[in-house]
Amino acid sequence: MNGSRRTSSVVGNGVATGLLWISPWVVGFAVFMLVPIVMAAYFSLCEFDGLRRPVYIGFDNFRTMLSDPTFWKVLKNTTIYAAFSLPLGAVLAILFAIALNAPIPGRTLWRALIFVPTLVPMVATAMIWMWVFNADYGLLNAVLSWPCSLFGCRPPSWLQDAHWTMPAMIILSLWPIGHPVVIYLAGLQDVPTVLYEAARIDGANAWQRLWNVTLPLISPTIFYNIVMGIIFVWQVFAIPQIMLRGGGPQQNVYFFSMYLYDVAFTFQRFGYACTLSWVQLLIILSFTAFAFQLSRRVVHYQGGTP
Amino acid sequence: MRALANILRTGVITIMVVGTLGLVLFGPRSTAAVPPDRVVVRYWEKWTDFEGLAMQRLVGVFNDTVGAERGIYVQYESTTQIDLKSLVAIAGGDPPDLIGLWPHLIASYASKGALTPLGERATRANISRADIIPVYYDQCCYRDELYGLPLTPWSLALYYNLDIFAQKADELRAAGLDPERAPRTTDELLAYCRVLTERDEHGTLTRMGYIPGHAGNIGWYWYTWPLWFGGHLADPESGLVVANEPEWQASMCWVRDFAQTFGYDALGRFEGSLSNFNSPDNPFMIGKLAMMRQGPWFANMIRQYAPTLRYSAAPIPTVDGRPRSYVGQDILVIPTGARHAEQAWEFIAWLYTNPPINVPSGEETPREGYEYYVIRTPTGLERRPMPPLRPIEWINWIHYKGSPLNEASQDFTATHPNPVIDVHERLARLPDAQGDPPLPNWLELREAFGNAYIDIWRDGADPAQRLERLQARIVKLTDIAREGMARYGETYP
Repeated sequence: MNGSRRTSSVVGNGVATGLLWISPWVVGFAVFMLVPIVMAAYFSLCEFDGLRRPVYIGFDNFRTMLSDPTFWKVLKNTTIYAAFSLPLGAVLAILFAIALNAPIPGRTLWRALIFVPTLVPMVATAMIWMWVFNADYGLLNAVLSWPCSLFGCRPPSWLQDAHWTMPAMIILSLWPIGHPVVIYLAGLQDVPTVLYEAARIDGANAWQRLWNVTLPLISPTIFYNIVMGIIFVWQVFAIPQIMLRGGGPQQNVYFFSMYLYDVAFTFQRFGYACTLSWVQLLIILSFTAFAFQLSRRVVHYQGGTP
Repeated sequence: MRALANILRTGVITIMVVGTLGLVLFGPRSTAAVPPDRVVVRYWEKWTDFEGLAMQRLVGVFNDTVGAERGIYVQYESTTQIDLKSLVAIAGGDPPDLIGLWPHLIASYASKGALTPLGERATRANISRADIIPVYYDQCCYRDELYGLPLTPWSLALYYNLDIFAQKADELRAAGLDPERAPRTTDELLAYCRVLTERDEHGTLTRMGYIPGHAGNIGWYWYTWPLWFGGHLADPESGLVVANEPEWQASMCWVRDFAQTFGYDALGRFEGSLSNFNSPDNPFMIGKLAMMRQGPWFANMIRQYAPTLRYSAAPIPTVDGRPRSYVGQDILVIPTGARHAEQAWEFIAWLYTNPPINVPSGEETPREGYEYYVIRTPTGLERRPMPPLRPIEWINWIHYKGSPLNEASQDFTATHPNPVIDVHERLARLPDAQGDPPLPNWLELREAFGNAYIDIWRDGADPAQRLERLQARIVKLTDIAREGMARYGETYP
């Protein structure tokens, strides 16, 4: 009995010490995340202009949302953006990581170069790319002008033509690709070389080694990057907001977070904005939950399921 | 190991404690030295750079004179995104004492109880509607109550480049147009534009006569188009926005026709190639745009960035050639919850009631050109000292804007440095001058109009159909706003 009491006392002390050490994070999370999330849930059921007391109105804001054409527009835009930029970014990042994991000349330099764009502040990135995408004087169109001339056409007006604003934003989403590349590189370096040797002895070619050895073994890293990517693409805001405030021609790049910001801080409809923010949270949670479900079948942890 | 852990722990704690103490003792401090025994009035204003410097100097004069006598110290704080930050500060219960806002926010803020009514204070200080140009005074009111006073008012005019007009004089004459004056009607505007516009050998637009567009800074006040066709932003009877009025349709047809004339793609590319508005690369200043719709501040910018540019200004061309006017202003308001509302009001009242002042000039001049004005005499350019002016006129003189006073002082008018101020002044005093409608959800309605405008301007949407859709959206948004206000026991508009 004594021993058990002492054990539980030691465990208790350990838990208390642990809680004490993580308390800054717990308090910060509670004050700056949990409380606002719960308050937003309540405000989503209220008429609330940010200045006066909220008035409870039940699910009116949700009904308003369903009949709001801008809501459907931003939902569609964000879905298209996510559907293209997420897989494209993942595939390219893996390819870059594999290339930079190989013994190529100047490997360290290439690794540094691909990471550098992630250090550029978002506002600066937006300003730089506004000129890169410039129809007549932009770097991208300078490169495209020769191949386009072969087909007798002009390079696109990326930010002025409604058909090209979304492709422009998807291309731009690849700019900070250095961040996942670094994570993939770390994952690749954890793959035991003996497995590649064994695969070679079994006669596996490069593609088979990639498909059957590399990808399964870095699948936890891929999964992590995909989950982070889902969260990021569904919250895309700063760069399109700076480059094409209001969503550009035909509002084709008016994304969910941009609309949410306008509803709250420009139109001062904070109750409705809270409704939108909760819907955004639920969408992200749904996709993340789906990714977790999928991960049970396709993600392989080396020590078994964590 | 335990000893090492102890050393590490002690080290980390020591660094954190010393760092905190260091920040507290030697960390950053406010650089503005506030004299003792003064009530500090926190004043948030949107201006930066030369406009901000001018206001800071005026605040300095107040602090050194009346402020010193009455124990008030106004602390000027330049604030970006002032509307958003003010809203958050008011909601959080810690607003500044004085804010420089825009009149389109009056209805929205006042209807939510975010602004202090100023009517009684104004009456006590003998400031009345009769003292101020009516349209400016009325923009500061919501439901017959005064919530602010004009600081720097303005009206829109058409700026045109005299050198480009002179270069194209023969072609303009050949097209039956007068190169000595700006276009007066919207038909003339298009005709001038055809002549003044230039393309390179690939058909790329290198210079536009004018752009009615929406993108970026060149499209400032795009939503005023219905005005130039005799319409109203809000129906004078009902106060509601009616987007499918014939004048709205006519204006949007004109915008569509303009875009068709020069080509949607070409215009889009041209718009994308234009540099920053607030810079020496401004398209008007470098000759890429021959005409531009702007307020009087534009003359101040030209003085800063392109002092040798030859230009003039005229009323915005209208459908029938009769001058019409769109006005706006920067205003001063006292938010609800301001801790020193009375002292903040003292500053506002001082701007209006203080006798003419001489703002110190000389070596402390922040930039050349402020305390002196340049006049053209038979012998050339001559610098003369700035005359004493009432504070409210001083700031407008420095900002190149007109006076909000019904009777501007003779010195103000006679010495004003803006060469086109008379055009702006005349337009501001037109009896049917319009500003933004006093609707709490005006910004949301304007945004909806913006989407329709872009569809017409960029993609050639049918104006009648698009405006019908816009009207349906406006009705919906108006219903939402009406319902929302009803929940607080209020009516819309």
